[in-house]
Formats: sequence, structure tokens, C-alpha cells
Amino acid sequence: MTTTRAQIAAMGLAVTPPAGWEAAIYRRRAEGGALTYPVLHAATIALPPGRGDYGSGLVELLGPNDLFVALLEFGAVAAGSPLFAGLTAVPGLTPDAYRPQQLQRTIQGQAGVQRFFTSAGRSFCLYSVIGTLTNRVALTARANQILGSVRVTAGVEAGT
Amino acid sequence: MPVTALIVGLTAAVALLGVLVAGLLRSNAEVIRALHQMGVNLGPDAPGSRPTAVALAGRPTGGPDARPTPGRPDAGDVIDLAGVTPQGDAVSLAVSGVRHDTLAGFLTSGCQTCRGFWDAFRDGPPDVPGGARLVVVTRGPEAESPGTIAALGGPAGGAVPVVMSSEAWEHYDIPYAPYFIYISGAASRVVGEGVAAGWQEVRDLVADAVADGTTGAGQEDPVDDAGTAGAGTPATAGAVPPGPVVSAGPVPPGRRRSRADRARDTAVDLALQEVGIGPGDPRLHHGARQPLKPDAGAGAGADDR
Repeated sequence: MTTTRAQIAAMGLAVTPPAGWEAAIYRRRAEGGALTYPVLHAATIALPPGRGDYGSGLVELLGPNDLFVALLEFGAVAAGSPLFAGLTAVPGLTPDAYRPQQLQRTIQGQAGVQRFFTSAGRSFCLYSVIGTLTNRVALTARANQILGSVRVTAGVEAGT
Repeated sequence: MPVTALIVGLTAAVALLGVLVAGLLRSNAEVIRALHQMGVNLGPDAPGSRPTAVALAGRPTGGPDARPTPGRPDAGDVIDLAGVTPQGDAVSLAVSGVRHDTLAGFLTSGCQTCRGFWDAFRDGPPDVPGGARLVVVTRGPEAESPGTIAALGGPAGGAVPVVMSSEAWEHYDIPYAPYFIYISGAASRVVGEGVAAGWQEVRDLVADAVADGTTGAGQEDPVDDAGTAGAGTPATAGAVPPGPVVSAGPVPPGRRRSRADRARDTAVDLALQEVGIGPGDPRLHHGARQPLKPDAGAGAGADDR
């Protein structure tokens, strides 16, 4: 079997999904004068249409060997804030970082993690969910595998 | 005399026009015959065009039933469907090493036959036999207008994902549009491909392939880069799902197994039940290496290797 891995890139973000991963980089259409920023989604299951930025509509489908990773940009203004300034690159994760209490919405058995960081002058929230806390060691390794392929470049304006 | 000349002239003109019309009719008949051989029936009252001989089922390359298009030397040479959406988002949809199968429909904005597929996909998610995920693949933005594709595909995030990727067209060696490829996610290989005039015909071909078991799903477990097994491998010995004792592999919900597989499952279930093993028995799962004997007590033979 020959499998070629392809990088996808848009809006100053790039990722190379490993085998069995799906990924998307998108920005919602701005409505009512609001600003919108790029979002990167990656998961070991098929990305369903209509999912939320924090994975609603997707995390409910995660199996015990599945996980979800999201990078959500918050804009250049936030990049200087203490919350985002502490980390200056896409962070790696450790198994103990995943906690059930970190989930946006509690789902039995699942665990999540949230990190804030700045890269290339852009501020991001990293949010990840694993299908089961008991598999956190193996799943964290997989999360780091795709996080290691993420590239951020400067100079992307918010959508209006 | 002038009247005679006029009549002769008109007769000659009518004869000339008749020759031209005959030529056009002949040319039209040849075109229709060629399209008909490809499975396209343009008749308004056609009961449904026949699929081509390129049925949606796995075929050995090079055999008498081999795909009559530029060769596919390695059915396992698959790539994820990576490209952009008509809205400009970047996307990579996994087709190998995953639990789900993928039915990739390669369409263009210009071909008349493709219009029927666009119309069928725009209003709602079509029912794909076996639960395969339907993805529309067009050529990239350098060859297709994203705005036109967006209009054909419907609203963003609609029922059927659309990926614009010329690389996918070239890698999968798509001979013409419309063209469909069925990729087994578990086997990570192309298990069927072909073309038909309408969605119902494609759907029927997929249904036949699924019923015959030629889609190949369930034969292998997808394994990720980290080496962990995917579906079909119990996460823990204690996670025992209800249902049949034996399953040949990950069969997605709603998937119809072939008759031979069902008969084989039933025979194995009966054999296991005769020795006292029923649904949920821990001896059926990894980590419980006990002899398959009805009187095997707990803890007897921790590892029989």
C-alpha cells in the first residue's frame, strides 16, 4: 500500500494530517460586523458538517480510540495579553493535561485540555478532546503527532 | 421560363438541404450510440440508463474484466482527498486507515450528465448503501470556478462535502466525468469504480457491491501511525458489546453483510454456543487466553501460547 501525506494550508495555517486523520482550516463568514478568525480542526473521525468551532456535533461521535484537536485564533490584540503570552509556540501535550473538567461540555468518559499560546504574532487557543480518559497516554501521543505538523505564519487579517 | 428555372433551383436547394440533414442525423446517431455505450441515455422517456460495463466492484487488474481505462496498477495506491472547498477553506478528508468507506464522485461543472448528480446531492444527504461517506471531488480552482462549484454544491457545510483537488483527479487517474470510486477505509484500497448516468444507478451498483461483499470493508482493521488498532479491536477487555459472538470485522451500522458471511457467522456462533461460549464471554477478547472448553474455570491457563 502506498499512502501519500499531503499538507493543507490556508489563512496562514498549515497542517499535515497523519494517516487516518482528517483536517480542515476555515473561517466563518462574518455577520453583523463581527470579526471572524481562522480555525483549524483535526480529528481521527470524519469531520461532520455543521460542527461547532469547539467540536460540538463531532465530539459526541468520538470512539475510545479517537480524538479531536482544534486551534482557534483570537486576533492580534489578544496576542499581547498575559493569557496568550505565556507560550510562544504550538504547545505539546502531556497525558495528565487531559481532564474531564476541561471539556466545553461534559461527556461521560471523555477528557479535554485547553492551552493558550502566541505564534508568529497571532494568538490561539488549543483545544483537544480524547474519546476516553483511560487511553490518554496513546491518544496524547497521537495529538502531539499532528500538533507537531502545524505551521503558523504571520500576516493574516481577520475576516469581516 | 423563369418559373421553370425557379422550380429547378428550389428543387436543387431542397435536395442539398436534404443531404445536409441526412448527414446531421447520421452524425447525431453516432454520437448517441457512443453515449449509449457509455451508459448515457438521452431519451426523455428513458427508463434509466444502463451502467457501463465498468461495474462498481473490485476487479483484478489486467484480467478480462479489468478497468478499460488507463491502468490502475496498484489499487492500494490511495491518497486522502486534500484540497480546498468552494468557499476557500482547506480540507483533507481521510479515505484510508479509517473505519468508514468513501464513495468519491468526480464531477465537473460543465458536463451535462454531472448536473443530475449535483441536483441529487444539493437538497439533502443521499442514502449511500453500506453507509459509505459520499464526497464530491472537482478539479482545483485553477481549472474550475469556485463560485460555480459553490452554486452547484449548495450552501457551505451542506449535505455532501465538496473538495476541489486536481491532484486527486490525477492520482486516481479519472478518465472522464462523472466517475465514481469506492474506497474501503479499512482495507485502504480502491475496491470499485465506474460510471452511470444518474445517482440511482450508482446507488444500485454500490448496493450490489455491498451485498456481494466486494466492497471489502471489514476485512482488515485500520491501524494508525501510532500503531494502535482502530475499530474492531476492543479498547479494554471489559468493554464487551452485546450482540453476536463473532464479527468478522468492523461493520458500520446499517451495513448489509453478504449472505456467505452471515452463514459463516451463524455457523461459528453455533459452534461456540455448543461449548458454552455466548455473547459477551470474556474468553472471546484479547487478554483472556483461556482454553475454549466448557469446563475451563476462571484462571485456568493464563496464557496458552
